[in-house]
Amino acid sequence: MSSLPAAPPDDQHLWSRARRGDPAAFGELFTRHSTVVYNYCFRLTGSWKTAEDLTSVVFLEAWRKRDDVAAEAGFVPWLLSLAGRVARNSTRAVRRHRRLLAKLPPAVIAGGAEDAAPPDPSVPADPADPADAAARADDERHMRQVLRVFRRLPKQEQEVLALCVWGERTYAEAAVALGIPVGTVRSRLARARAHMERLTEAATTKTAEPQPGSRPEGAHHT
Amino acid sequence: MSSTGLDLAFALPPRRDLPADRRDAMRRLLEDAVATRPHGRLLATPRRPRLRPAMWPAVGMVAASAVAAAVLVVGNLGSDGADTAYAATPPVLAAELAMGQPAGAELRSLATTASQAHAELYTTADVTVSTESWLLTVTETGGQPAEGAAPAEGAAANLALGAPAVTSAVVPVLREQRFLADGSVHVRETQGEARFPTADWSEADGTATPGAVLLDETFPAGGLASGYPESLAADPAALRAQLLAVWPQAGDPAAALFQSLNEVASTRVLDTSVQAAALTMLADEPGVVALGEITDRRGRTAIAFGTDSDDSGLDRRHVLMVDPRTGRLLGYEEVLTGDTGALDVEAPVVAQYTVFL
Repeated sequence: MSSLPAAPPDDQHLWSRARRGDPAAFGELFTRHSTVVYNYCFRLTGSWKTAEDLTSVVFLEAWRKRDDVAAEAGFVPWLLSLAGRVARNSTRAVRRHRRLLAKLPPAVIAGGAEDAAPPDPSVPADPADPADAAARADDERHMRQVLRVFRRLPKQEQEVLALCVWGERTYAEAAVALGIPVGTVRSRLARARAHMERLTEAATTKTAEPQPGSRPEGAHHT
Repeated sequence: MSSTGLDLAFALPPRRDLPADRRDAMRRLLEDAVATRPHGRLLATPRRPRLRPAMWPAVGMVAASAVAAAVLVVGNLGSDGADTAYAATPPVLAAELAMGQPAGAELRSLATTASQAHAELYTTADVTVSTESWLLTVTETGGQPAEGAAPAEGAAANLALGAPAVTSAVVPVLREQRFLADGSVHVRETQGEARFPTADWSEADGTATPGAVLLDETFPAGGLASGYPESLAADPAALRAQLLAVWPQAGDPAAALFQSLNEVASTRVLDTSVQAAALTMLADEPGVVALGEITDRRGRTAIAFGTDSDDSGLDRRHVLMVDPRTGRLLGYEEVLTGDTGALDVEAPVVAQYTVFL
Protein backbone atom coordinates (compact mmCIF):
# COMPACT_ATOMS: atom_id res chain seq x y z
CA MET A 1 0.00 0.00 0.00
CA SER A 2 1.47 3.29 -1.02
CA SER A 3 1.12 6.41 0.98
CA LEU A 4 1.12 9.93 -0.27
CA PRO A 5 3.84 12.18 1.03
CA ALA A 6 2.67 14.52 3.73
CA ALA A 7 1.48 17.80 2.33
CA PRO A 8 3.56 20.76 3.39
CA PRO A 9 1.95 22.85 6.07
CA ASP A 10 -0.14 25.68 4.73
CA ASP A 11 0.65 29.30 5.43
CA GLN A 12 -1.87 29.64 8.20
CA HIS A 13 -0.45 26.66 9.99
CA LEU A 14 3.05 28.04 9.69
CA TRP A 15 1.91 31.47 10.77
CA SER A 16 0.19 30.00 13.79
CA ARG A 17 3.38 28.18 14.72
CA ALA A 18 5.45 31.28 14.13
CA ARG A 19 3.23 33.37 16.36
CA ARG A 20 3.71 30.83 19.10
CA GLY A 21 7.43 31.39 18.79
CA ASP A 22 8.62 28.86 16.24
CA PRO A 23 11.50 30.55 14.39
CA ALA A 24 11.70 27.87 11.71
CA ALA A 25 8.05 28.37 10.84
CA PHE A 26 8.58 32.08 10.30
CA GLY A 27 11.72 31.33 8.35
CA GLU A 28 9.79 28.97 6.11
CA LEU A 29 7.16 31.62 5.47
CA PHE A 30 9.93 33.99 4.48
CA THR A 31 11.46 31.46 2.12
CA ARG A 32 8.09 30.79 0.55
CA HIS A 33 7.05 34.35 -0.01
CA SER A 34 10.15 36.51 -0.05
CA THR A 35 10.29 36.50 -3.84
CA VAL A 36 6.72 37.73 -4.17
CA VAL A 37 7.34 40.43 -1.61
CA TYR A 38 10.68 41.37 -3.15
CA ASN A 39 9.25 41.80 -6.62
CA TYR A 40 6.19 43.58 -5.27
CA CYS A 41 8.41 46.04 -3.43
CA PHE A 42 10.43 46.56 -6.57
CA ARG A 43 7.30 47.29 -8.55
CA LEU A 44 6.18 49.78 -5.95
CA THR A 45 9.51 51.56 -5.70
CA GLY A 46 11.34 51.01 -8.98
CA SER A 47 14.55 50.12 -7.15
CA TRP A 48 15.98 46.66 -6.59
CA LYS A 49 18.14 47.87 -3.74
CA THR A 50 15.22 49.50 -1.98
CA ALA A 51 13.13 46.42 -2.61
CA GLU A 52 15.77 44.26 -1.01
CA ASP A 53 15.81 46.40 2.11
CA LEU A 54 12.05 46.64 2.23
CA THR A 55 11.60 42.91 1.93
CA SER A 56 13.31 42.46 5.28
CA VAL A 57 11.30 45.31 6.71
CA VAL A 58 8.00 43.85 5.52
CA PHE A 59 8.67 40.59 7.32
CA LEU A 60 9.87 42.39 10.43
CA GLU A 61 6.69 44.42 10.33
CA ALA A 62 4.72 41.21 9.95
CA TRP A 63 6.34 39.90 13.09
CA ARG A 64 5.72 43.17 14.90
CA LYS A 65 2.07 43.09 13.90
CA ARG A 66 1.62 39.40 14.53
CA ASP A 67 -1.52 40.02 16.53
CA ASP A 68 -3.25 41.54 13.52
CA VAL A 69 -6.18 39.33 12.79
CA ALA A 70 -6.14 40.39 9.14
CA ALA A 71 -3.28 37.97 8.60
CA GLU A 72 -5.63 35.10 9.26
CA ALA A 73 -7.77 36.02 6.27
CA GLY A 74 -4.88 35.54 3.88
CA PHE A 75 -1.24 35.64 4.78
CA VAL A 76 0.25 36.77 1.46
CA PRO A 77 -2.34 39.48 0.72
CA TRP A 78 -1.77 40.73 4.23
CA LEU A 79 1.99 40.72 3.65
CA LEU A 80 1.49 42.70 0.47
CA SER A 81 -0.71 45.21 2.19
CA LEU A 82 2.08 45.64 4.75
CA ALA A 83 4.49 46.05 1.86
CA GLY A 84 2.33 48.80 0.43
CA ARG A 85 2.36 50.66 3.72
CA VAL A 86 6.08 50.09 4.17
CA ALA A 87 6.79 51.36 0.67
CA ARG A 88 4.74 54.49 1.29
CA ASN A 89 6.47 55.18 4.59
CA SER A 90 9.77 53.55 3.90
CA THR A 91 11.90 55.99 5.86
CA ARG A 92 9.98 55.46 9.04
CA ALA A 93 9.63 51.74 8.52
CA VAL A 94 13.31 51.22 7.88
CA ARG A 95 14.22 53.37 10.84
CA ARG A 96 11.93 51.37 13.07
CA HIS A 97 13.98 48.27 12.39
CA ARG A 98 17.32 49.90 11.73
CA ARG A 99 19.04 48.24 14.63
CA LEU A 100 17.97 44.79 13.52
CA LEU A 101 18.69 45.49 9.87
CA ALA A 102 22.19 46.52 10.81
CA LYS A 103 22.83 42.89 11.69
CA LEU A 104 22.49 41.90 8.07
CA PRO A 105 25.62 41.73 5.94
CA PRO A 106 26.56 45.24 4.90
CA ALA A 107 25.82 44.59 1.25
CA VAL A 108 22.16 44.13 1.99
CA ILE A 109 21.81 47.55 3.48
CA ALA A 110 24.48 49.35 1.57
CA GLY A 111 23.22 48.57 -1.87
CA GLY A 112 25.29 49.69 -4.80
CA ALA A 113 26.90 47.24 -7.14
CA GLU A 114 25.15 44.30 -5.57
CA ASP A 115 21.96 45.53 -7.16
CA ALA A 116 23.23 43.95 -10.29
CA ALA A 117 21.35 40.94 -11.57
CA PRO A 118 21.97 38.50 -14.36
CA PRO A 119 19.94 38.55 -17.54
CA ASP A 120 18.37 35.29 -16.44
CA PRO A 121 16.57 36.19 -13.25
CA SER A 122 16.72 32.62 -12.00
CA VAL A 123 20.49 32.78 -11.84
CA PRO A 124 21.92 34.38 -8.72
CA ALA A 125 23.30 37.82 -9.26
CA ASP A 126 26.98 38.38 -9.66
CA PRO A 127 27.68 41.79 -8.20
CA ALA A 128 30.86 42.08 -10.21
CA ASP A 129 29.15 41.53 -13.56
CA PRO A 130 28.55 44.85 -15.31
CA ALA A 131 25.96 43.23 -17.56
CA ASP A 132 23.93 42.36 -14.48
CA ALA A 133 24.12 45.90 -13.26
CA ALA A 134 23.03 47.15 -16.65
CA ALA A 135 20.10 44.75 -16.74
CA ARG A 136 18.94 45.86 -13.34
CA ALA A 137 19.38 49.49 -14.22
CA ASP A 138 17.26 48.89 -17.29
CA ASP A 139 14.60 47.24 -15.13
CA GLU A 140 14.60 50.23 -12.87
CA ARG A 141 14.30 52.77 -15.67
CA HIS A 142 11.45 50.79 -17.11
CA MET A 143 9.66 50.42 -13.79
CA ARG A 144 9.99 54.08 -12.98
CA GLN A 145 8.31 54.89 -16.27
CA VAL A 146 5.45 52.60 -15.33
CA LEU A 147 5.26 54.15 -11.89
CA ARG A 148 5.04 57.64 -13.32
CA VAL A 149 1.79 56.67 -14.94
CA PHE A 150 0.62 54.40 -12.15
CA ARG A 151 0.87 57.16 -9.56
CA ARG A 152 -1.55 59.28 -11.51
CA LEU A 153 -4.30 56.74 -10.98
CA PRO A 154 -6.84 57.24 -8.22
CA LYS A 155 -5.61 55.61 -5.02
CA GLN A 156 -8.34 52.97 -5.04
CA GLU A 157 -7.36 51.89 -8.53
CA GLN A 158 -3.71 51.83 -7.56
CA GLU A 159 -4.47 49.47 -4.69
CA VAL A 160 -6.36 47.02 -6.82
CA LEU A 161 -3.95 47.13 -9.70
CA ALA A 162 -0.95 46.67 -7.45
CA LEU A 163 -2.41 43.75 -5.55
CA CYS A 164 -3.94 41.90 -8.49
CA VAL A 165 -1.29 42.49 -11.09
CA TRP A 166 1.95 43.37 -9.39
CA GLY A 167 1.23 41.23 -6.35
CA GLU A 168 -0.28 38.45 -8.47
CA ARG A 169 -3.28 38.00 -6.20
CA THR A 170 -6.68 36.74 -7.24
CA TYR A 171 -9.76 38.93 -7.21
CA ALA A 172 -10.92 37.12 -4.11
CA GLU A 173 -7.66 37.63 -2.29
CA ALA A 174 -7.58 41.29 -3.20
CA ALA A 175 -11.18 41.67 -2.07
CA VAL A 176 -10.34 40.26 1.35
CA ALA A 177 -7.18 42.31 1.69
CA LEU A 178 -8.91 45.54 0.72
CA GLY A 179 -12.18 44.81 2.44
CA ILE A 180 -14.28 45.31 -0.66
CA PRO A 181 -16.56 42.99 -2.68
CA VAL A 182 -15.05 40.90 -5.45
CA GLY A 183 -17.21 42.69 -7.98
CA THR A 184 -15.75 45.99 -6.90
CA VAL A 185 -12.26 44.60 -7.35
CA ARG A 186 -13.15 43.55 -10.86
CA SER A 187 -14.68 46.88 -11.82
CA ARG A 188 -11.90 48.94 -10.29
CA LEU A 189 -9.35 46.82 -12.06
CA ALA A 190 -11.08 47.34 -15.39
CA ARG A 191 -11.16 51.06 -14.80
CA ALA A 192 -7.55 51.06 -13.71
CA ARG A 193 -6.45 49.30 -16.85
CA ALA A 194 -8.39 51.64 -19.12
CA HIS A 195 -7.07 54.56 -17.14
CA MET A 196 -3.50 53.32 -17.48
CA GLU A 197 -3.85 52.89 -21.20
CA ARG A 198 -5.17 56.41 -21.66
CA LEU A 199 -2.48 57.91 -19.49
CA THR A 200 0.16 55.89 -21.26
CA GLU A 201 -0.99 57.03 -24.66
CA ALA A 202 -0.89 60.59 -23.49
CA ALA A 203 2.56 60.09 -22.05
CA THR A 204 3.81 58.45 -25.20
CA THR A 205 2.51 61.30 -27.29
CA LYS A 206 4.30 63.81 -25.14
CA THR A 207 7.53 61.88 -24.92
CA ALA A 208 10.45 63.05 -26.90
CA GLU A 209 11.87 60.73 -29.48
CA PRO A 210 13.12 57.58 -27.84
CA GLN A 211 16.78 56.80 -27.60
CA PRO A 212 17.93 54.11 -29.98
CA GLY A 213 17.71 50.72 -28.38
CA SER A 214 15.71 51.93 -25.42
CA ARG A 215 12.11 51.44 -24.53
CA PRO A 216 9.91 54.45 -25.27
CA GLU A 217 8.42 55.90 -22.15
CA GLY A 218 5.12 54.35 -21.31
CA ALA A 219 5.50 51.76 -24.04
CA HIS A 220 2.73 49.24 -24.13
CA HIS A 221 1.55 46.48 -26.28
CA THR A 222 -1.95 45.73 -27.36
CA MET B 1 1.58 35.88 -14.38
CA SER B 2 -1.42 37.19 -12.66
CA SER B 3 -3.92 34.62 -11.57
CA THR B 4 -6.55 37.12 -12.58
CA GLY B 5 -5.56 36.62 -16.16
CA LEU B 6 -5.19 40.34 -16.57
CA ASP B 7 -2.48 41.47 -18.95
CA LEU B 8 -1.33 44.83 -17.79
CA ALA B 9 -0.74 47.36 -20.48
CA PHE B 10 2.95 47.28 -19.68
CA ALA B 11 5.35 44.43 -19.83
CA LEU B 12 6.81 44.57 -16.36
CA PRO B 13 10.46 43.78 -15.77
CA PRO B 14 11.00 40.08 -15.12
CA ARG B 15 10.76 38.67 -11.65
CA ARG B 16 14.01 38.27 -9.85
CA ASP B 17 15.05 36.29 -6.84
CA LEU B 18 16.82 37.72 -3.88
CA PRO B 19 20.50 36.85 -4.01
CA ALA B 20 20.79 33.57 -2.17
CA ASP B 21 23.29 34.69 0.43
CA ARG B 22 21.23 37.72 1.32
CA ARG B 23 18.03 35.74 1.40
CA ASP B 24 19.68 33.34 3.83
CA ALA B 25 20.93 36.21 5.98
CA MET B 26 17.45 37.71 6.04
CA ARG B 27 15.93 34.42 7.07
CA ARG B 28 18.41 34.06 9.91
CA LEU B 29 17.64 37.57 11.05
CA LEU B 30 13.92 36.91 11.05
CA GLU B 31 14.31 33.63 12.87
CA ASP B 32 16.41 35.40 15.46
CA ALA B 33 13.68 37.99 15.82
CA VAL B 34 11.20 35.25 16.59
CA ALA B 35 13.58 33.38 18.85
CA THR B 36 14.20 36.47 20.96
CA ARG B 37 10.59 37.50 21.07
CA PRO B 38 9.18 38.94 24.25
CA HIS B 39 7.12 36.14 25.74
CA GLY B 40 4.74 38.54 27.32
CA ARG B 41 2.86 38.77 24.03
CA LEU B 42 1.72 35.22 24.32
CA LEU B 43 -0.95 35.83 26.88
CA ALA B 44 -4.17 34.26 25.82
CA THR B 45 -6.26 37.29 26.62
CA PRO B 46 -5.45 40.85 25.66
CA ARG B 47 -5.09 43.03 28.69
CA ARG B 48 -3.83 46.40 29.72
CA PRO B 49 -0.86 46.88 32.00
CA ARG B 50 -1.70 47.86 35.51
CA LEU B 51 -0.79 51.24 36.80
CA ARG B 52 -0.37 51.76 40.45
CA PRO B 53 0.72 54.71 42.56
CA ALA B 54 4.45 55.03 42.84
CA MET B 55 6.24 54.24 46.07
CA TRP B 56 9.97 54.50 46.06
CA PRO B 57 11.30 53.86 49.52
CA ALA B 58 14.95 53.10 48.87
CA VAL B 59 17.25 55.02 51.19
CA GLY B 60 19.50 57.49 49.46
CA MET B 61 18.14 56.61 46.08
CA VAL B 62 14.89 58.43 46.17
CA ALA B 63 14.16 60.59 43.20
CA ALA B 64 11.84 63.08 44.77
CA SER B 65 10.82 64.28 41.39
CA ALA B 66 9.42 61.00 40.28
CA VAL B 67 6.27 61.52 38.31
CA ALA B 68 5.14 58.06 37.40
CA ALA B 69 5.75 54.39 37.80
CA ALA B 70 4.63 51.70 35.49
CA VAL B 71 4.20 48.08 36.26
CA LEU B 72 4.93 45.58 33.60
CA VAL B 73 2.63 42.66 33.29
CA VAL B 74 4.28 39.61 31.94
CA GLY B 75 2.75 36.38 30.95
CA ASN B 76 3.94 33.22 32.54
CA LEU B 77 4.61 30.74 29.82
CA GLY B 78 4.20 27.90 32.20
CA SER B 79 0.58 28.74 32.70
CA ASP B 80 -2.46 29.20 30.57
CA GLY B 81 -2.16 32.92 30.83
CA ALA B 82 -4.26 33.27 33.92
CA ASP B 83 -1.19 33.78 36.07
CA THR B 84 0.68 36.97 35.53
CA ALA B 85 3.90 38.36 36.86
CA TYR B 86 4.52 41.97 37.62
CA ALA B 87 7.85 43.54 36.89
CA ALA B 88 8.70 46.92 38.18
CA THR B 89 10.23 49.88 36.45
CA PRO B 90 11.82 52.92 38.02
CA PRO B 91 9.86 56.14 38.09
CA VAL B 92 10.19 58.58 35.26
CA LEU B 93 12.02 61.64 36.51
CA ALA B 94 10.47 65.04 36.26
CA ALA B 95 11.81 67.00 33.31
CA GLU B 96 12.59 63.85 31.35
CA LEU B 97 9.38 64.38 29.43
CA ALA B 98 9.66 68.15 29.14
CA MET B 99 8.93 69.74 25.81
CA GLY B 100 12.51 70.89 25.49
CA GLN B 101 14.17 74.11 24.46
CA PRO B 102 17.08 74.86 22.16
CA ALA B 103 20.11 73.36 23.81
CA GLY B 104 23.08 74.85 21.99
CA ALA B 105 23.90 77.76 24.27
CA GLU B 106 23.54 75.77 27.47
CA LEU B 107 25.63 72.90 26.18
CA ARG B 108 28.37 75.23 25.04
CA SER B 109 28.38 76.90 28.43
CA LEU B 110 28.69 73.51 30.11
CA ALA B 111 31.45 72.60 27.68
CA THR B 112 33.36 75.64 28.85
CA THR B 113 32.76 74.61 32.43
CA ALA B 114 34.05 71.12 31.69
CA SER B 115 37.14 72.37 29.94
CA GLN B 116 38.01 74.53 32.94
CA ALA B 117 37.43 71.84 35.51
CA HIS B 118 40.41 70.56 37.41
CA ALA B 119 41.92 67.77 35.41
CA GLU B 120 42.84 65.85 38.52
CA LEU B 121 39.18 65.36 39.18
CA TYR B 122 39.03 63.30 36.05
CA THR B 123 42.23 61.39 35.55
CA THR B 124 44.76 59.74 37.75
CA ALA B 125 47.02 56.79 37.20
CA ASP B 126 44.68 54.56 39.13
CA VAL B 127 41.03 55.43 38.76
CA THR B 128 37.70 53.78 39.13
CA VAL B 129 34.60 54.22 37.02
CA SER B 130 31.53 53.46 39.08
CA THR B 131 28.02 53.16 37.78
CA GLU B 132 24.62 52.08 38.88
CA SER B 133 22.55 50.75 36.03
CA TRP B 134 19.27 49.12 35.32
CA LEU B 135 17.75 47.84 32.13
CA LEU B 136 14.23 46.75 31.35
CA THR B 137 14.78 43.08 30.69
CA VAL B 138 11.73 41.11 31.51
CA THR B 139 12.66 37.52 31.83
CA GLU B 140 10.82 34.40 32.62
CA THR B 141 12.12 31.05 33.59
CA GLY B 142 14.65 30.42 30.88
CA GLY B 143 13.19 33.36 29.06
CA GLN B 144 14.50 36.04 26.81
CA PRO B 145 15.04 39.71 27.44
CA ALA B 146 12.13 41.77 26.27
CA GLU B 147 14.24 44.35 24.54
CA GLY B 148 16.24 42.04 22.40
CA ALA B 149 19.92 41.66 22.93
CA ALA B 150 19.96 43.48 26.18
CA PRO B 151 22.56 42.39 28.67
CA ALA B 152 21.42 40.65 31.77
CA GLU B 153 22.65 43.32 34.09
CA GLY B 154 20.16 45.33 35.97
CA ALA B 155 17.31 43.14 35.00
CA ALA B 156 14.06 43.48 36.77
CA ALA B 157 14.12 40.88 39.48
CA ASN B 158 13.14 37.56 38.09
CA LEU B 159 12.59 35.04 40.75
CA ALA B 160 10.51 32.69 38.72
CA LEU B 161 11.60 29.15 39.15
CA GLY B 162 8.05 27.98 39.11
CA ALA B 163 4.74 29.54 38.43
CA PRO B 164 3.85 32.24 38.88
CA ALA B 165 6.80 34.58 38.39
CA VAL B 166 6.82 37.62 40.62
CA THR B 167 8.95 40.52 39.54
CA SER B 168 7.98 43.45 41.64
CA ALA B 169 11.42 44.89 42.34
CA VAL B 170 13.84 47.05 40.46
CA VAL B 171 17.27 45.62 41.12
CA PRO B 172 20.09 47.72 39.72
CA VAL B 173 23.63 46.57 39.19
CA LEU B 174 26.51 48.40 40.76
CA ARG B 175 29.65 48.23 38.68
CA GLU B 176 33.14 49.32 39.53
CA GLN B 177 35.74 49.31 36.83
CA ARG B 178 39.16 50.04 38.25
CA PHE B 179 42.01 50.89 35.94
CA LEU B 180 45.29 49.84 37.46
CA ALA B 181 48.68 51.30 36.78
CA ASP B 182 49.88 48.21 34.91
CA GLY B 183 47.09 48.56 32.39
CA SER B 184 44.94 45.81 33.79
CA VAL B 185 41.32 46.44 34.66
CA HIS B 186 39.50 45.07 37.65
CA VAL B 187 35.75 44.80 37.20
CA ARG B 188 33.40 44.10 40.03
CA GLU B 189 29.65 44.00 39.72
CA THR B 190 27.32 43.58 42.61
CA GLN B 191 23.60 43.48 42.97
CA GLY B 192 22.11 46.69 44.21
CA GLU B 193 19.37 47.10 46.67
CA ALA B 194 15.99 45.97 45.47
CA ARG B 195 13.45 48.74 45.28
CA PHE B 196 9.74 48.34 45.04
CA PRO B 197 8.03 51.06 43.09
CA THR B 198 4.59 49.84 44.00
CA ALA B 199 2.87 48.79 47.16
CA ASP B 200 2.17 45.41 45.65
CA TRP B 201 5.46 43.63 46.14
CA SER B 202 6.52 40.19 47.04
CA GLU B 203 8.75 39.14 49.88
CA ALA B 204 10.17 36.62 47.50
CA ASP B 205 12.03 39.48 45.87
CA GLY B 206 14.08 39.64 49.01
CA THR B 207 16.18 36.90 47.51
CA ALA B 208 17.68 39.58 45.31
CA THR B 209 20.40 40.01 47.90
CA PRO B 210 22.03 43.43 47.93
CA GLY B 211 25.77 43.14 47.59
CA ALA B 212 25.67 39.75 45.94
CA VAL B 213 28.71 39.58 43.70
CA LEU B 214 27.84 39.09 40.07
CA LEU B 215 31.31 39.55 38.63
CA ASP B 216 34.73 39.99 40.16
CA GLU B 217 37.49 39.68 37.68
CA THR B 218 40.73 41.32 36.65
CA PHE B 219 41.38 41.65 32.96
CA PRO B 220 44.93 42.01 31.67
CA ALA B 221 45.92 45.10 29.72
CA GLY B 222 43.95 45.13 26.50
CA GLY B 223 41.68 42.36 27.73
CA LEU B 224 38.55 44.47 27.78
CA ALA B 225 37.64 45.11 24.19
CA SER B 226 35.82 48.26 23.17
CA GLY B 227 34.24 49.23 19.90
CA TYR B 228 35.45 52.76 20.44
CA PRO B 229 39.00 54.00 19.91
CA GLU B 230 41.24 53.84 22.93
CA SER B 231 41.93 57.54 22.61
CA LEU B 232 38.84 59.66 22.12
CA ALA B 233 39.25 62.92 20.27
CA ALA B 234 39.07 66.27 21.97
CA ASP B 235 37.81 67.82 18.76
CA PRO B 236 34.00 67.72 18.60
CA ALA B 237 33.78 66.77 14.92
CA ALA B 238 36.42 64.08 15.25
CA LEU B 239 34.79 62.74 18.40
CA ARG B 240 31.46 62.59 16.61
CA ALA B 241 33.01 60.57 13.81
CA GLN B 242 34.62 58.19 16.30
CA LEU B 243 31.37 57.61 18.16
CA LEU B 244 29.21 57.20 15.08
CA ALA B 245 31.66 54.74 13.56
CA VAL B 246 30.18 52.22 15.96
CA TRP B 247 26.66 53.04 14.71
CA PRO B 248 27.09 53.02 10.93
CA GLN B 249 23.40 52.53 10.28
CA ALA B 250 22.15 55.09 12.72
CA GLY B 251 19.05 56.80 11.38
CA ASP B 252 19.13 59.32 14.21
CA PRO B 253 22.70 60.43 14.79
CA ALA B 254 21.75 62.36 17.92
CA ALA B 255 20.26 59.26 19.53
CA ALA B 256 23.28 57.24 18.51
CA LEU B 257 25.57 59.83 20.06
CA PHE B 258 23.61 59.79 23.31
CA GLN B 259 23.91 56.01 23.47
CA SER B 260 27.57 55.98 22.58
CA LEU B 261 28.33 58.57 25.26
CA ASN B 262 26.57 56.35 27.77
CA GLU B 263 28.67 53.44 26.63
CA VAL B 264 32.01 55.17 26.80
CA ALA B 265 31.26 56.98 30.04
CA SER B 266 30.21 53.66 31.59
CA THR B 267 33.45 51.97 30.79
CA ARG B 268 36.22 54.54 30.88
CA VAL B 269 37.31 57.80 32.36
CA LEU B 270 36.55 60.75 30.13
CA ASP B 271 39.01 63.54 30.67
CA THR B 272 37.99 67.16 30.70
CA SER B 273 38.83 67.76 27.07
CA VAL B 274 36.69 64.86 25.90
CA GLN B 275 33.83 65.87 28.17
CA ALA B 276 33.98 69.37 26.74
CA ALA B 277 34.17 68.06 23.19
CA ALA B 278 31.18 65.82 23.81
CA LEU B 279 29.09 68.72 25.02
CA THR B 280 30.14 70.95 22.15
CA MET B 281 29.40 68.13 19.75
CA LEU B 282 25.87 67.82 21.15
CA ALA B 283 25.42 71.58 20.97
CA ASP B 284 25.89 71.37 17.23
CA GLU B 285 23.77 68.26 16.77
CA PRO B 286 20.26 68.72 15.37
CA GLY B 287 17.51 67.24 17.46
CA VAL B 288 19.06 67.78 20.88
CA VAL B 289 16.94 69.77 23.31
CA ALA B 290 17.46 71.13 26.80
CA LEU B 291 15.01 69.63 29.28
CA GLY B 292 15.93 71.76 32.25
CA GLU B 293 17.08 71.05 35.76
CA ILE B 294 16.54 67.58 37.09
CA THR B 295 17.25 65.62 40.25
CA ASP B 296 18.91 62.36 39.40
CA ARG B 297 18.45 59.01 41.08
CA ARG B 298 21.17 59.86 43.57
CA GLY B 299 19.55 63.11 44.53
CA ARG B 300 22.06 65.22 42.62
CA THR B 301 21.10 68.30 40.68
CA ALA B 302 21.77 68.01 36.97
CA ILE B 303 20.88 69.64 33.69
CA ALA B 304 19.06 67.26 31.39
CA PHE B 305 19.26 67.11 27.63
CA GLY B 306 17.18 64.89 25.43
CA THR B 307 16.62 63.64 21.95
CA ASP B 308 13.72 61.63 20.57
CA SER B 309 14.11 58.69 18.25
CA ASP B 310 12.35 55.59 17.04
CA ASP B 311 15.54 54.05 15.75
CA SER B 312 15.13 51.06 17.98
CA GLY B 313 11.61 50.43 16.73
CA LEU B 314 9.93 52.13 19.65
CA ASP B 315 9.51 55.81 20.29
CA ARG B 316 11.89 56.70 23.01
CA ARG B 317 13.54 59.69 24.55
CA HIS B 318 17.24 59.49 25.28
CA VAL B 319 18.31 61.67 28.17
CA LEU B 320 21.76 62.74 29.28
CA MET B 321 22.30 64.51 32.58
CA VAL B 322 25.20 66.86 33.11
CA ASP B 323 26.62 68.26 36.33
CA PRO B 324 26.16 72.05 36.13
CA ARG B 325 29.20 72.59 38.37
CA THR B 326 31.72 70.50 36.46
CA GLY B 327 30.21 69.68 33.06
CA ARG B 328 30.62 66.00 33.86
CA LEU B 329 28.08 63.43 32.72
CA LEU B 330 26.00 62.26 35.65
CA GLY B 331 23.54 59.95 34.03
CA TYR B 332 21.84 58.52 31.00
CA GLU B 333 18.30 57.26 30.68
CA GLU B 334 15.89 56.01 28.07
CA VAL B 335 12.18 56.58 28.37
CA LEU B 336 9.64 54.90 26.11
CA THR B 337 7.26 57.62 25.10
CA GLY B 338 4.88 56.18 22.56
CA ASP B 339 3.86 52.79 21.31
CA THR B 340 5.60 50.33 23.55
CA GLY B 341 5.29 47.54 21.05
CA ALA B 342 5.69 44.09 22.47
CA LEU B 343 6.74 45.29 25.86
CA ASP B 344 3.24 45.70 27.20
CA VAL B 345 4.13 48.61 29.37
CA GLU B 346 2.27 51.83 29.31
CA ALA B 347 4.27 54.84 28.24
CA PRO B 348 5.89 56.82 29.56
CA VAL B 349 8.13 54.27 31.17
CA VAL B 350 11.83 54.09 31.92
CA ALA B 351 13.50 51.39 29.90
CA GLN B 352 17.06 51.93 31.03
CA TYR B 353 19.15 54.10 33.26
CA THR B 354 22.78 54.57 34.15
CA VAL B 355 24.00 56.69 37.01
CA PHE B 356 27.63 57.74 36.76
CA LEU B 357 28.80 57.79 40.35
